[in-house]
Amino acid sequence: MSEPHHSTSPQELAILCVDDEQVILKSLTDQLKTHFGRAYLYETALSGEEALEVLDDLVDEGVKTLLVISDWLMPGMKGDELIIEVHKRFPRTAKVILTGQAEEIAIERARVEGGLNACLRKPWSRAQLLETVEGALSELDATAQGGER
Amino acid sequence: MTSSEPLSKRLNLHELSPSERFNAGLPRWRRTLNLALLSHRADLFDEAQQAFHEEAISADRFMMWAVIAHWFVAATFSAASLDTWLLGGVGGALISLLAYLPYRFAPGSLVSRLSFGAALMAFSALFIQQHAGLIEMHFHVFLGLAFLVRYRDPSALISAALLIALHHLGFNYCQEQGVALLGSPIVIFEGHEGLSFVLLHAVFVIIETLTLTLVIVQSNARFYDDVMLASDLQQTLDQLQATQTDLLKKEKMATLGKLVAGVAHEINTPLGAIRASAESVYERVHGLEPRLFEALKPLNEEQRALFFDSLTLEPDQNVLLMPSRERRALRKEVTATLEGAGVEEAKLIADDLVSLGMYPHINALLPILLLPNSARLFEALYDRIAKRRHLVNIQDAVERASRIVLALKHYAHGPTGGASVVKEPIDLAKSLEVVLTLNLNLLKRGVEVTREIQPNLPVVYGDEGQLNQVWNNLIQNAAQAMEGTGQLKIQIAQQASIWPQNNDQEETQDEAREGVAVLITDSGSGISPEHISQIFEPFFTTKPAGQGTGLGLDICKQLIETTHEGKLEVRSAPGATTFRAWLPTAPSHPELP
Repeated sequence: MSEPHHSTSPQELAILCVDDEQVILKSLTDQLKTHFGRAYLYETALSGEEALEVLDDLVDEGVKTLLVISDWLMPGMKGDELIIEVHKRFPRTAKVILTGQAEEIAIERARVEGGLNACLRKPWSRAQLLETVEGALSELDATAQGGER
Repeated sequence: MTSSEPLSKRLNLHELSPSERFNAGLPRWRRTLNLALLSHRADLFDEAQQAFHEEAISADRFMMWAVIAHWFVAATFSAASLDTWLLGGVGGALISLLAYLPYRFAPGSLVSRLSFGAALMAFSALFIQQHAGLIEMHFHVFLGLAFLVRYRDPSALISAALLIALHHLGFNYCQEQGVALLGSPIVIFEGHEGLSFVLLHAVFVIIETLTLTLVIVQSNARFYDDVMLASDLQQTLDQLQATQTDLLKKEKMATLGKLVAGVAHEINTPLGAIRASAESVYERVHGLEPRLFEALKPLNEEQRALFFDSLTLEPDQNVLLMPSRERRALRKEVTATLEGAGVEEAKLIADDLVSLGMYPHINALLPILLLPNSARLFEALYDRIAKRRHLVNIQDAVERASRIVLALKHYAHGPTGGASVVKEPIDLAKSLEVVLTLNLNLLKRGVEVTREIQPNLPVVYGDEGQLNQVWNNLIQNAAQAMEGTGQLKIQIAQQASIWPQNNDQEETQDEAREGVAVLITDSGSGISPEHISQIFEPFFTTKPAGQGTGLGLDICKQLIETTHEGKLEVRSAPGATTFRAWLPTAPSHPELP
């Protein structure tokens, strides 16, 4: 990912949440915001297609998206497809799938082809969410350092 | 007597069709006895007995007319040849009276049968006497015996045979002794007499009686054989029905299973939201007062008033529905405003203001954002709005979950799956809404549902549980056909001829009665012409093995057409497949439960 050159302040970081349910997005962003505060921008998208647009826009705005949390069952692009696509375009973004369904095959595919970091079951608890997100972010740090070796 | 309704109706003969077919042409008492044996119903044995009794009365009636005819012949034609008017008239009247009395006071009884047997033979004796022992008149004995077969009971034959034997013995003796009757000598054999002739006649009568008895016994035995055969058939049918019931149950469970999975998901989502919101509120309440106290400490009176005023500002709820791109544009705008005013961390604060829906109040909030401890103040403000939003969130989620529970309650309403059908006035629109709510998870992701419901529809009677099962099946099929995206159209109208597939309004004939039509149209790829004629057939399915029994539409058709006396039809073209369920407004048997 190319570093934005016009950025004067330290690199802005974002977490993108994707779900077709508003209520889920509200809960997710609020839980993240409560815990991480202003360390990140919290972006949302209602579909996989919109998520990819947001990611592109954020790049243009000079924001680095650290993590994508996506629902699996959505109209149009499914969560695993989105994760695989994100992995192709932004390999250094951590990816978490959120699912109420036992779609093991799709999850496995996302893990293998999409570099999926973790899978969170609905309904999740706050503790599970934070643990999962922190886990994914630390893995990201590890690979980033590995990549700079 | 028995109720006026035909027996077949009371017995639900369509369930017993092989035996019904077998029964065709049998007398009613036999049919009833047959059914009593087949259906193992004790009450029917009484009814069979009753029917047998009625059959005997009917035979008695036949015999009574036969006796009267005999009397007429005895008093007229038979009397004319030898002028035996007195003997024919009075003798015939006497025999007829003696036969009439048991018939009058004990119709259908054994006594009545025995007396008619005797009466017919008494007429034989009368005819023989009227014709002075004319041997041809003895033929009447055989005619009389043949008549008695009508009883299908050998006892009448035995009575007749005994009487004629006594008559022959007695009258032969009288002839030999030259006894006279009403002025004429008694003659039983013209031109001859003697015990040997009595014996010869007895041989013929005995053989005739035995033959006829054998015919009756064989016919009765064959009847019981047939009953046993039918009983075997019935057992086979019972087994088939049990298998069918089993399959129906499986199909119902498959549909229910799909429904339950969908409902579970639909309830899980609001529950997840409630959990998340409740946790967030809990977090935000924790340590709130000290934080607020710290934040307010350095402020003067005026600044505090400014802050408290800001707490009364109402957020704009529409922000949640804003597309992400638009929201980011708004955030950029707010960021610029904040940066222009010299607020620190403008972008992050702008993000908060936008996501909370507080951006319309930016001018009121700016003074607070410029206060020395603005971060803490803003956090307190954020806390407050976020908490309120979480509480609204919880209310919404509870509302959503209870709507589904309510729909589930309505769906299960009535004795679904039970044997009895309860017909009551149905609100079709509500019934469909319940099923749509329960199948929300199949529809909400990409299916646009439109409803066209004609106002002031006439009342339709039906079993809500069964109708729900039909709607559920049709809607799930539609959702599956559209693979999650498309348009689902629900129409309820009195004017039934609104197929979307063709506009020429050629119409079906079933609307001789008033009714209401429910049309469910999906925008899926349609049903191929070679499949459409088969889709209502049992076990027809295009789904992979294990995904459907192929009974769903067959059951729907039965429920609509048999139970509700309506009509279920389909038309399909690419992009518009319509199932049309027509239901009559007035049930044709309103007294039936």
